[in-house]
Amino acid sequence: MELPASVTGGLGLLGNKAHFATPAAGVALTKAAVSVLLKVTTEAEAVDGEAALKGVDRATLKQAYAALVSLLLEAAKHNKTEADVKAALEDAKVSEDRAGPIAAVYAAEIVELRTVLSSTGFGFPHVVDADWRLDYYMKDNQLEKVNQPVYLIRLKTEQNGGKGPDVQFSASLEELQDLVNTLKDASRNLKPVSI
Amino acid sequence: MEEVDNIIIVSLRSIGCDIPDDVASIKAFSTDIVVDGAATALATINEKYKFPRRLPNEMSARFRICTNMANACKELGYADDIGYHQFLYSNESEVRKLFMWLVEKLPRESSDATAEPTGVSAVLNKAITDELEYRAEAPWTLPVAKRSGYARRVATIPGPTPKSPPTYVPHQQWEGLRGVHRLHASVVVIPAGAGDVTKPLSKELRKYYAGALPYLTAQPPVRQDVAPSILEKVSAEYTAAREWEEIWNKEGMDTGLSEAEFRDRKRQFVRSKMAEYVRSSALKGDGAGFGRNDADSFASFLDSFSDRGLRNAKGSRFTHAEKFQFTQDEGAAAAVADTEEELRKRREEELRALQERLDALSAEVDRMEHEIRNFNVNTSQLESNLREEKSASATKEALYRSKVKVFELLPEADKNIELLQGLVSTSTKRLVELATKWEAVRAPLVLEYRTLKESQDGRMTESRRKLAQIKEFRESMKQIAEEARIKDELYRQLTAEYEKMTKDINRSIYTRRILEIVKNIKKQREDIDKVLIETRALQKEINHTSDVLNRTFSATDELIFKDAKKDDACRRAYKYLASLHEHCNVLIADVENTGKLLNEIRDFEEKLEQLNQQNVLPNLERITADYIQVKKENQALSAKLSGRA
Amino acid sequence: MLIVLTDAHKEHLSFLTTVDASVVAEFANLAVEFVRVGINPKLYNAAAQKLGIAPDAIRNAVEGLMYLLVESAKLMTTEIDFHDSILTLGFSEELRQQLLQLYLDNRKEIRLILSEMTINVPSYHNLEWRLDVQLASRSLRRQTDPIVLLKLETRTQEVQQQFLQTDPAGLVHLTSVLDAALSELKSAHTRRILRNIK
Repeated sequence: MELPASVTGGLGLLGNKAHFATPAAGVALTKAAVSVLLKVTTEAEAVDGEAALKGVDRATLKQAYAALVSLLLEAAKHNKTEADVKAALEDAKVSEDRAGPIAAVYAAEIVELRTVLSSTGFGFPHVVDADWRLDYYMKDNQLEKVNQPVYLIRLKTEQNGGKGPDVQFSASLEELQDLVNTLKDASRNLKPVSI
Repeated sequence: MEEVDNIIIVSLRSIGCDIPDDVASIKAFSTDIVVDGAATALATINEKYKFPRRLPNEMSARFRICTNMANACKELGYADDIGYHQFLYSNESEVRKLFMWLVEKLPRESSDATAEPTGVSAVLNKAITDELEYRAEAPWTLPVAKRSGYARRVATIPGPTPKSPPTYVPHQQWEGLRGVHRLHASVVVIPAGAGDVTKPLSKELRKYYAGALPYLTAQPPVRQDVAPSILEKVSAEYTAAREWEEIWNKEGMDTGLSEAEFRDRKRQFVRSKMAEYVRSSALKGDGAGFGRNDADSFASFLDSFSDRGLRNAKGSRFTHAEKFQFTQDEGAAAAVADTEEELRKRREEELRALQERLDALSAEVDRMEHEIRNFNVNTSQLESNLREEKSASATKEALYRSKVKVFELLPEADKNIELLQGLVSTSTKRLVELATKWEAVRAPLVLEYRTLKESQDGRMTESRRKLAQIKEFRESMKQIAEEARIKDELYRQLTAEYEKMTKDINRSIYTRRILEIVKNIKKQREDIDKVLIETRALQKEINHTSDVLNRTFSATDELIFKDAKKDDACRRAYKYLASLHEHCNVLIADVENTGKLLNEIRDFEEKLEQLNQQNVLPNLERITADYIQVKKENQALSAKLSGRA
Repeated sequence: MLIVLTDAHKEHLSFLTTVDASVVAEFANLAVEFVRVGINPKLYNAAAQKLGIAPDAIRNAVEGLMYLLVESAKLMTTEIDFHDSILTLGFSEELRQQLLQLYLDNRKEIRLILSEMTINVPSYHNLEWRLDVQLASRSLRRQTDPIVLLKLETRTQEVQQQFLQTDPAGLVHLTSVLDAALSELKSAHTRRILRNIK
């Protein structure tokens, strides 16, 4: 994994008995980091409230925490395996009995971590639903006895961080038939058999 | 046969047959076990073969099931004859043959592993098809029901074999963009060096880290920016470190400076270069940007800027983040609110006044500049004049001073001349003395200088050599690290493979069995060889004896025949001999016949044994019993039928 | 339904009874042409000089014819109704047949021209789709996220393009919703209403 010296240095603190007396402290810090990243708790609750981390020097604790957060995010970004994370920790001079449980915490949460990372992105207005209405077009100020069925269709969309513009248009029976056929064709072609 | 039976029993147990522990060979297989084993094996080979593992009580149903199983075996390509009787009225050898074939047909786990696609594009293709397959089938989630914009589902991934349970993997995907944010990174600080023993943190920095600095995840002002900010920071630091290493390896090593010195020099160089550019462009731009006199202040600004970058990033200068912050600070100018009308009017007035002032001032400036230019020209001219005058006056003064001296000495010319000559001679003498003294001092100094210079040269070459060595070492270090990495990778791959392989528990048992079988075969072969040799020896002996016999007979025959013409007794003896010979021949033939018959008897005995093994009698009894039962069932059925009719 | 003609209108049209059938045919062609491309007053003067009649009279006659045709087309007047409507104008049978034929020949075109003048809402024109699989992004590598890109073209006066995207589940949902809309037209309720309106 590509980690700068500041991160590997911070990870190294986790392997130091002088700073973190037991392996459990490292695991507790990892769990705290995960729960903060997943927006379950705040740092104040997760780190400061953790009994296993009482008595650790504040500056050291913050550095180790920062390094762990960086490691977790970087590993999740590249979809690294548990073994990769363990190897990265061992490279940073964390002994195997301490690296193993930390990597296990990562492996248990990788799907959630990647979900958090996938919440950064962009795209065209994303269609999430459709509304329709069937009208009967009878007459207007220019013309009488038109007598055609007309569909009004509204596509609901979403954009970054909220509701997107609605797309509204009308379609005659033939036009809607064409639209539905195209969509059916697309849905059919989603099936992997056709790739 | 025992080994084969063991292998078959182990294999059947591994696919889930209930074989009682006390069953050690196929001989002990009951009909139930045979049917159970065959049904399970067939189901494992192909899922479409589904037979009950327990036979029902009705005879006709039993018969049907067994016939179907036999047909299934035929379909799968069993070469020998097979029918319901192999299952219902089994005999050992046929059952063994059938199970050997079935076990052979069982799908192997290892073949599953090799069927997985390998290669990057194949793996990617598989991932995409899997994802599409899952997503196309996934139910649609109401937009309002999505937790902060993404759909959460549980994907079911089938186990490696049809028997093993599927694994459930949470599968969540953003469907829609409501919860998706654009990438935006803000500045974060990763504390470093808190646990460093060799270079302890400064007291202030430690206090800052411990107190004021928020946790890394609390630093970005907006929660959703946490992950991107940290990732950007990490990659920026990593890239900067890599870049610096590159520069240091390429240029820094040769300079012979320490890393810190080289960095200082590089910074100085960049700073002066930038200041130069800014100065020149400021001069060109005529008042735009930094003025002439601002060049120094710009240099001081650069100072603070690069220092900040250095301290923060620990080895990386000009991080993007720092730049970003800087521009943000600049841009934080606030506008005063006012009504637009007033503002415009006021602005216009101001503009007009300023324009006028500007015009006046620029005219003034033009005039002044012109004057300054004139004055400058005058000044330089006057200065050169002054210089000329000064030099002229200096020469004249010297001339004047010598002349004054000469005039003073003139009255007592002779005496003075003598005095002067004396003075001159003493001074020359002193000069010579001084020269010799100087020579004495100079020689050792020159010598010292030379030795020092030599040693200096030596040191230079030494350092150069050492530098080259260091470079070499670094190169080899890199190479070794690369090799270690590759080997590590290989090791990991191999362990993964090994882990995959050890799943096959039967392997060692199989190999041990095979080795035992091979040993047994070897022993038997030796025995066979021994017997063959013995037989050959016997044959030889027989041949030899019959040869001797023939020769003896012909010799005796000749001898007696000669005498037979003369002697009556001899003639009789000859006759006896002939008959003896004949009888002996008959005897030999009889003995041979007896041997043949014995062989035949043995053959027949074997066949009898075989037939006995096929337990014909009990089977016959069972068949009759079954037949009676079928008959009874049929009667019962027909009774029922007639009762209903 | 009969067309109700005002007295002024009748008077204008009665001019046609005073001229030849060929002139009437000429006028009728002129009226149809004017419905198509707009009125050209110069032609009135030219015709007036040629026929020696006041330009106003010609103008009234032609525009009266135009109004008659447009009104009839707008109301989808049947053949018989049209015939009965112009019965009161005192035209000869021959002239009536001529006008009726003119009306029948041009009714469809006139309705089309009229329909273009009505309220235009954006209507569906075309849809194109493309299946993308997002493999990596700046903050997340090694992913396989299928996205369906849609290019929707709608038309008001000219064609307008819109780019949208959706996910597979969304696409399937969209298809089923619109398919349900389509089948609604075949439902008993809708069919009954359609039948009764016609």
